Amino acid sequence: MTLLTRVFRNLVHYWKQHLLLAAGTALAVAIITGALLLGASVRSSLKEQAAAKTGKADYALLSTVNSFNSELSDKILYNEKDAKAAALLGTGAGLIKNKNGLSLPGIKVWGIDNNINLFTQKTLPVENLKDDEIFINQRVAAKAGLKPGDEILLKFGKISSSVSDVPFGQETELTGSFYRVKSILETAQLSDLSFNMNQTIPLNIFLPLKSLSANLGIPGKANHLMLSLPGNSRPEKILQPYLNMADLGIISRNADSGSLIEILSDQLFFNKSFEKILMKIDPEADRILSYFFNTLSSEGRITPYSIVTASDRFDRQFSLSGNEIILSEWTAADLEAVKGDRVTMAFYRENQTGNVTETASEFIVKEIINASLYHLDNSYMPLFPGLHEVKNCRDWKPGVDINLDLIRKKDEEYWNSYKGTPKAVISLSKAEELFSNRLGSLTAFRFSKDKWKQKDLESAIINNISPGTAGYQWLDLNKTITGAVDNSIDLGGLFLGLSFFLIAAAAILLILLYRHSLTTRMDEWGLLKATGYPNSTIKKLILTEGLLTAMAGGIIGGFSGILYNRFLLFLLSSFFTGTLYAPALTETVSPIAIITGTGCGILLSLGALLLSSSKTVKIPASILLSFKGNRELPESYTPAKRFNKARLFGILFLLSIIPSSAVLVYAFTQTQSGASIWFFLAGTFFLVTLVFLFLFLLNFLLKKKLKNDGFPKLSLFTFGIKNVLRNPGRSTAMVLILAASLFMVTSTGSYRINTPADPFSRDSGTGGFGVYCETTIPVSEKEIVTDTEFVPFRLKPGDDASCLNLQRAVNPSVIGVDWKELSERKAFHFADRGTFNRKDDVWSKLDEQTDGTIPAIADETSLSWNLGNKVGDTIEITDEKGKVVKLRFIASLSPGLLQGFIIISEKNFLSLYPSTSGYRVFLIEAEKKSLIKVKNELTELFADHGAEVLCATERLQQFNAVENTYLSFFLILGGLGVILGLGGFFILIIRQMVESEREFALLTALGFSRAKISQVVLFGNLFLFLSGLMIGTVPSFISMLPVLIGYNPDYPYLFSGFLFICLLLTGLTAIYVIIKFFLKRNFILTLKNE
Amino acid sequence: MVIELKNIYKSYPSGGEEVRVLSDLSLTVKRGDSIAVTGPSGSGKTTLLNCMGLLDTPTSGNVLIDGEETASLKEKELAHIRNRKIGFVFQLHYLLPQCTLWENVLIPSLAFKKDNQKSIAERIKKILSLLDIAELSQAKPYALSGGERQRAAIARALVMNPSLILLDEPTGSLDSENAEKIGVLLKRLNEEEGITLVTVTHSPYLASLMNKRFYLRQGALSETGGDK
Repeated sequence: MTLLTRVFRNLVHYWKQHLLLAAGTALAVAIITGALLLGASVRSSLKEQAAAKTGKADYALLSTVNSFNSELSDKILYNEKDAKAAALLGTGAGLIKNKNGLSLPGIKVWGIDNNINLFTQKTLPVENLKDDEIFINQRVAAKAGLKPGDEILLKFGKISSSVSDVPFGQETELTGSFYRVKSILETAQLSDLSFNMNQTIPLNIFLPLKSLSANLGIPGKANHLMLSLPGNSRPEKILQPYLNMADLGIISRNADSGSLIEILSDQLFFNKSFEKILMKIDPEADRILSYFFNTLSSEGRITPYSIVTASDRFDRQFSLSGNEIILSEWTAADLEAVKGDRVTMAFYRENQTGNVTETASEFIVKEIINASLYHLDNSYMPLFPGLHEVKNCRDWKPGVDINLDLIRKKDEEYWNSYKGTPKAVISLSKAEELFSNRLGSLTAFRFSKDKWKQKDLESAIINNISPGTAGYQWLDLNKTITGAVDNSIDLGGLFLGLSFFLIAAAAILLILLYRHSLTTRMDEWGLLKATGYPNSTIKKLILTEGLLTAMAGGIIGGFSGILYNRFLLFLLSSFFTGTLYAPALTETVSPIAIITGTGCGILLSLGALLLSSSKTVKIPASILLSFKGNRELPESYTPAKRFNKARLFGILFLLSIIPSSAVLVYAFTQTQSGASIWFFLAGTFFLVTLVFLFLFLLNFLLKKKLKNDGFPKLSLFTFGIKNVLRNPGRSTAMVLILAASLFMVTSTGSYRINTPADPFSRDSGTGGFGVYCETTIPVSEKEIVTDTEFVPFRLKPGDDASCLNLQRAVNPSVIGVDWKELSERKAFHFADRGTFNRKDDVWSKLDEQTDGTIPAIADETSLSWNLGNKVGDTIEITDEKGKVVKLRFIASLSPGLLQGFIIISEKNFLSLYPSTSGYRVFLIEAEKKSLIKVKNELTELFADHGAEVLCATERLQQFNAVENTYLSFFLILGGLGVILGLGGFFILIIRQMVESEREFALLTALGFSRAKISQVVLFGNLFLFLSGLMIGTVPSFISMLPVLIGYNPDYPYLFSGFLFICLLLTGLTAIYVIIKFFLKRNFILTLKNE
Repeated sequence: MVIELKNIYKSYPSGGEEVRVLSDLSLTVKRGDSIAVTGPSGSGKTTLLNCMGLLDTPTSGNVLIDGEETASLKEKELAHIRNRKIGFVFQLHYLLPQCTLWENVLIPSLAFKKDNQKSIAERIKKILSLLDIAELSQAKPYALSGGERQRAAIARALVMNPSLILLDEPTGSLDSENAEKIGVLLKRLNEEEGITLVTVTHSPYLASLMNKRFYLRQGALSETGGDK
């Protein structure tokens, strides 16, 4: 008979034991495989969804500043072989439904043409769409309750190169039109188009590009381009030849009676990048800065609202420097000023936070000139919107506050005759010092026609200016999707972590089952030894049996893992569609995940077997053979016989008290948000400490000889305890399994996040603000007509870095704030103050740049989960001009309202995104009693801007819902662990009862009634059960300390209490039922069978 | 009279049929008797002992303990009789491995609350001395020899001062030397302490030490000898 034959016979003979062992292995394999498959499924689903949302295009061209001719896509399709391209015009909008006045914020409107069908799986009938018809996606339909034929009003802001809140910038003009829903698109029709890496389904509306661009004031223009290229072609080279001056936001015109070519910017001001490029093209180009001043005054005489200019030419001609000024004869006469007089110029300029304020500067008159002699004419006036095209100066709308009463008749006559001809000249350096703003410091460049032909100059400019400098950015979609999905929240890992207790419980069960299996076959091992088998052969036999059983369990577990993954996907999908507005997840059966899970489970099983069997084979044959009769190994063959166990565990208990107490004390020194994890750790340490205490007491009790009048004493109670403590390892496992399950479940409850107890406290997640508002269309400060105080934030939209997004925020949303507003209010609580101490004003550090790295703050959830960073780390982002900039996280905030954003100072924000107009995020002060009133007022006020106005606590609840859902999963898994733990506990009781049958028979023979025997068994098992609960309760209490000291006053006491009572009642009932049921049997037969 | 069996019938269902083990069996055990029941394997010796010890209920017939009928007694009352009036010794010692010898002997006293622990302790001490195992009182069963274990089992049977000790093959698992020692001990307990003994045994030696000997065959007892 070969070893294998013997193994198979053993497997068949002990099939019940092996079935149980295979089931235990299958359980462990299923848990691990299921979690790994879940991770693979989520990643693959996210990838598919992201690819589907981008039409599987390779690249997306996004324009943050300028727009390009929509025919660009046709040109690329015509010229580039095998390329696919579609131009889109995307903008934010507010939707207002007629019937019930429902307003839906956060709408994304896409202007599309037929080229979009190059990226759809199912044709989108764009050509059938009339100008007043729209397509909507399913989420818009569901959220707004729309169906084909319904009419809605769409409100959007006109797209303009002008930036609203720099001097002379124009407010975003709101426009609106009624549209009829033509049809609701399917996903295959690219209904969920988005270039942001969020798994959330956007609220998309589609209309013809032609009509949308006309409505937005940029007819025929687009600002997005989807592109797929054959092979490894790069998009950068493709774009350049097709761009024209207008696409780059540059205007060229003749100046100085046609002798010069003047280059102007759509945005009025040229930034330094442009300046460098243009000066590189022609170092002799004349740089000009013309500005609109409010008054020029001298000894009480005032010349109002005129143009002052500065240029290289005038600097050279008049050797201008410092505070010298040259006045035109008209101005000098008006002011009655002569050379050497002092004049004061008042003008609007932008401060650091982007606000426009009036300031003044004093000059000394150097020269008085005849303007025409020096070619000082109207062409020096930039294309100030609301100014340059206006006939009558009383109709000026320069984008800054002006007092028309100051305009005199002679000013009107000057305007009528000379328009914006400058009335004064100052040095270029002084002009730049006074008038530069975030958009730049020059308003024009003049090139000599002697050197340049207009066409050549334009070509040189187009060839030298990279699209990035003009605000065009290419998004490598494949790379971005991979980056976002591969670094997404690892739900598989998370579930594996959350299943730790479940796996540990399965492992303990396996060890107990293996021990039981080996113990019942002690005589067999003894017999083999007695007949000359070496230990190694016996071990081989045991391990081969174990391996085959584990493999069988592994195969079953692998398949069960697939089913478990389906179950988890079902749960997650409900959560996805319900909370995260994402499509349902699809299953991915990854062979690697199955092999890994199965391998790990089998290894775990074999590890448990090795642990259980290593000592068995070393026991002498005689002892093994007599085991059945004695029912117990002599002390010399029980583990750890060479030392005093009571002393060992006593020492371990005392030693473990030190780190446990240290962690607990440290936890008390932590801030509110950081404390929970430390209290949890302290709880875990104390759990281990108490297990040592239990082991000490257990061994102490076993050793202790209770003396009474010189005679050992035994009571029913101690007799019962002695019975269950017969197997200390098993008893400890029973206690540990119960204690750990109780601890895990109750401590999880303390992490549940609820509305802050005092949402108006500055230290809470609301920062003390009552209302949160986010608009789709930017709002300028002037537009906010409310008595309520608020803190506005500028927004550069990007990937959502909140817990609502499972994917890594590759291009995160950035907000800029005047930090003084938050600092003065002491708003929000810092979870991690980085290198700053408690007295430091961390908000004020947002302006302190070191090594060109911009300081940033983020919510700790965003930082760790969505950005994968910690305080002190740096990340790279791309600014408006395509330049890569580093941000350093100097601190993190406790979870709160600003989750999802990277916060930087407004000053730094404007340097990165100067073209950003207005504000889109607002934190509004509101008292409890006026909360709803303020919310309703703002909803009404910002309805046209597509505003989502929420009470601060409502926004927190949205985030909390996600985190609490994860915790609920944890609780479900913990609950499964508890069930498994309780199941294991009950199995052990039953096993103990089976093993004790002969004792029960004996006790019956000795005159014990069934009730008495029940008492003996009950005492022992109750002792273990209550020990488990007590050992679990203490660390649970410690981990709940943050709750008890008020960090989380909304702890679900009811839920935890319910769990505790359920555990207690289930345990007590089950113990009672098992004992009652078991003791009904006729034990005398056992004695007879012996 | 300690125990009286009247017309005992005992049958078990087996393979769809009733197998009769004891058939119209009657036996009277008087105080101070020592009785040996022998018979072939499967003849019903242990069943007879279990019926006598109230561990098993006869299919019909009466078991009277000290003249009291037991058929109508409740489980708790039966347990009380077993605890106070009957001691059991089995072929295997059935000592609880988790308890010391002392504790094993003490166990029967835990079945009912009334017992004075101090007097029980004194009694255990006396019994252990009588059985010559006093020095082993703190030893665990696995540390004892076969004979010592069986003496411990006898001590346990004696601890509640029963009027009757039922022994089921008490020397069956012992070597001849230990078997002889146990036999002598039992004889001494009977003669010097007046303890009534009923033993079922295959051992002619042990049977020869009893003053009455019965042979059980086909469910019926026949007296084969005695000292009378």
